[in-house]
Amino acid sequence: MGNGELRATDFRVAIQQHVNIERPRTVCLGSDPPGLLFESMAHTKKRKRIERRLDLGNQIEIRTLIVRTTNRICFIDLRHRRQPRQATKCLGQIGETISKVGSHRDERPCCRTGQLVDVGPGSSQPDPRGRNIGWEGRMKLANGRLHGKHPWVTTENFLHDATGNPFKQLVALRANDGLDRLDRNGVVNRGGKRIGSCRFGEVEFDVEVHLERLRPPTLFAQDPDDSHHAETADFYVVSHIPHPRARSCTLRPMATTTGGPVAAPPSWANSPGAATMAWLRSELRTTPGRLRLWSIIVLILTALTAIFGLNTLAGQRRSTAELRNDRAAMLFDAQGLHSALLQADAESANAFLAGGIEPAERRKRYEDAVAEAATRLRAVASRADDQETRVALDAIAKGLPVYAGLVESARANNRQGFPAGGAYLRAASAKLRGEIVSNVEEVEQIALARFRSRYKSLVGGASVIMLVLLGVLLALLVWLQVSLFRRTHRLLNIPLVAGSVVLVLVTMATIAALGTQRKDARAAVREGFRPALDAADARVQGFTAKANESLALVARGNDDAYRVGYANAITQATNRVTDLVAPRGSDPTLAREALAVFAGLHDGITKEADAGNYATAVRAAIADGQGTANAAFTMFDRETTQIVNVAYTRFLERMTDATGRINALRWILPIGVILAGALALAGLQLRINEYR
Amino acid sequence: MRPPCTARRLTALLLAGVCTLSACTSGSNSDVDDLTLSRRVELTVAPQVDSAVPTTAPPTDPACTSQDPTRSIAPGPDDANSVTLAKVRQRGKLRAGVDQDTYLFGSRNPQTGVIEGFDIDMLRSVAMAIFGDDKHLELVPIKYKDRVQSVVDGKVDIVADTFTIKCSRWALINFSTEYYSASQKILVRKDSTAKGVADLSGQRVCAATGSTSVDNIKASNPKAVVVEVLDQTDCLILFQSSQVDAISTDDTILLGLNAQDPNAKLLTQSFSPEPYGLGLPKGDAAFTGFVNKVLEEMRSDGRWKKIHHDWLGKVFPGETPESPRARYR
Repeated sequence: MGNGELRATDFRVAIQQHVNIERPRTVCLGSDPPGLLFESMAHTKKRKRIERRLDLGNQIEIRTLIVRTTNRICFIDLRHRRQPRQATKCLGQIGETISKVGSHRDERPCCRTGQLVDVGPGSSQPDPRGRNIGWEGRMKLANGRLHGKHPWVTTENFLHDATGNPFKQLVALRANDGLDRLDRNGVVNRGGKRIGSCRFGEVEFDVEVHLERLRPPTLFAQDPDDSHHAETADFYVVSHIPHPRARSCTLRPMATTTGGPVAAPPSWANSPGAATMAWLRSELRTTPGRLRLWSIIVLILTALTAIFGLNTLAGQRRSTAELRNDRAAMLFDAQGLHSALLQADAESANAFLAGGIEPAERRKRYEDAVAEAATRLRAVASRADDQETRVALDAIAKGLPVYAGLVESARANNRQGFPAGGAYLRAASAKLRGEIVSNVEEVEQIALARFRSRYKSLVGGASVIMLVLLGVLLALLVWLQVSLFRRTHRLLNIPLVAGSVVLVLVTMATIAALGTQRKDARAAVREGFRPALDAADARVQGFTAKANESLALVARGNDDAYRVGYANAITQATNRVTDLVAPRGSDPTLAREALAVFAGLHDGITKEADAGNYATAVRAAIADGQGTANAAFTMFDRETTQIVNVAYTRFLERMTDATGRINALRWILPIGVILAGALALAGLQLRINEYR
Repeated sequence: MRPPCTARRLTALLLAGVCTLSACTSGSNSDVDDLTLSRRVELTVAPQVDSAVPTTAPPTDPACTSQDPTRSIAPGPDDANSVTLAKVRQRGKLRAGVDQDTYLFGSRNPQTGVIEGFDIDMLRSVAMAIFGDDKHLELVPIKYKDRVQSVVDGKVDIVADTFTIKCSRWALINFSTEYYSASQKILVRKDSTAKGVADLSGQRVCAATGSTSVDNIKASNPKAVVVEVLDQTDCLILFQSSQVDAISTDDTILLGLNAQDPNAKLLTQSFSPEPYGLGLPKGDAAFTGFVNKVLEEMRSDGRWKKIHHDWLGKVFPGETPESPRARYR
């Protein structure tokens, strides 16, 4: 001991540890590197080592060995790995015999264990920071068994530290991983590369030693700035016991090590997750590694932003087009259908009231209303893409001919002077309201709900997420720029700056375009959709009132429901036209006045009927011409239709504007983002290249 | 590391932009949230029973016997002094509750828009007796099930609406003497093999809610499915659209329906007799006597026969029958 020789111990233990050094400490060189190492570890904060070994004799696979102090070595028995604390066995002082660990019951070594072999003069290669480390290696076969899973090769490294003091390090190279894929005589290096084979007791091997990885941290952690580079390192420290049945073996080096750093993942990490973590850890250790990681993050974020942006804008275009072409049109067609149906109801009731041979003009108005309803129904059906609406439309389409049939029956009976005509008319009206109009209302509600949800998705949600992504990407580029500046003291990274500028421009263009688009969409709703909806709803309610008025007269004596229906409808219609904010180019005053006149005349008619002057009431209800209820209602109908048309046109115009904004942005955004990302990657690559 | 000033400013600007847009988003949801469609009130009319006649333990008029409910109040000397008459004279109008859908008895003529029929002509005669002409008669169409109620409420002074005289109704209103003897019969499809109500088991029979027909059918053949509608004429629609197999009500109404639909036939079997009377206010016996006096005059001077001939001559070909005999308490 103490003369540069390995301590003769009868236990074998392999340690690989990551040592976190809080601060650089004085190099303490001695003749016993493992001892030194343990000593230095006495001051470390955290010691951890990952190793795997199979104790065949005791069927214990020892995976993790924790060195808590210099003189305590602990194992975790994997059989109790779920309770590592209980399973940890501390084996006591160094130098104690740990005979069970690593003993193999049926090993068949082909080479004599414990032989020290020179592997030739070590190559002198600069470490990453440009210091030359001289080394020469002697290889010792710790356990030449090649038929099992755990052949071990150890090497003694004679190293010199930066001050020129020599020291010796014993390194064990595990060559087990990947062995399954090699022939049974193979020996592989840590990276899994085959380095030699053992035949007839001979082992040929080539050891690649990554100097940086073997560097004891305490030896190089002299420069305060370097401390973070040497924070962790991998060690293999092995002492061994000669195998009693070992045969002599000639080890002949195959080639001198000339390769660069072994970048392969550590051998013990054979699960994919662990491999990734280990690789990440190794990448994080170096500046170019970190830059590479940042490049990957920039790449991912760029791709994410571009894809998400493209997707969002496509969604926005779809939403805008759907709102403009389908959702609004469907609602207004449904409302038109609603009005037309009630108009038919009112006209047929009016014709019935007229008595005798109905006026041809009134008959035509009824037929026109039914034709209008059919047209609107077809228009609604062409845009119905959900099951609920289709079911409702189906009911309407089935009910409409039945309704028309009942009206014709009423007409036929009426012409013969049969009171069954009145009953048929009531049945027709009940059919219309009970089955047809309620389904039309259902369609309207669905159409309005879908308009609402489409509008909300247009102005909210996704576009905000897209902007946040843009912002995060921009922030990342700025941060990279700043941190590169700090690290490398280079003022500007031109591509990175250019990328940031492009991204700023794209973001501003996006905010501007989305803002304008939103403004257009809101204006479309405010100036177009809302007044159109109000006017169309007022029309529907107006026609409801009109139909109820006529039917109340038809069902004289049994008219309570119609009177209630009238009162409700006329109130809602009046409220609607009163609240109506007319779009530019239309004037709701006439509609308001016409409805008020109609309501006034209706009250007069009801009063007449209540006073028993039924004939007068009927005459007033069916009269056409100046100053009659019908004339007032016709005016209301015409004016509200006009408002609906003007407002709807306005809505279409503003939605077209909104679509235009999105169209412009559709290509600018992804191209800009990709350009910015590419520039940033180029900028980072410049820095990475400086480390080559 | 602390980002330099420009970076911080840029981040702040960006955050501000995003925040502004988010604010717009939350604000713009209200753009559409208050868009609504008006809701209409449901116009469903639930079928109701004759609300004026209590269903449990109906009070009866002690003077009314179920063997002969047609006995009415005899005309007295003071009948011209009745409260109702005074009210009617003062108002200048006799308000009469009628039906406008019962063909031949009380229906609105679609050609002229005037309600006409047997019942209407009876009322016209009463109005003539009060005012000397029939221009002061106001016809108020009422629901079939409201016939008793509208008299009780004073909404009308008299009801002529194929109104069967029954003791349960006597408890609430008065009746005139019988002015028409109807009986409940059944109208079936022309090709039907049914001979009577016993053959209608499992078949759908239509009748007006609140009428005696519903009870009679249920009593005669519990296996028949009774479909109740608000108005007699609604039965015809169900019948013509094959939703019911038969209609059962008074033969008078069925005759009217048959006249509107020749593809039906009237079964000869009749249930209970349905004596028609004019519904009159309960408290005013003098008015009932006055109306009975008018009916008495009509029977004797041939007006009743003329009315019968005018309205029922087509469906009862042959000689006009005698009017029902007036019976008094």
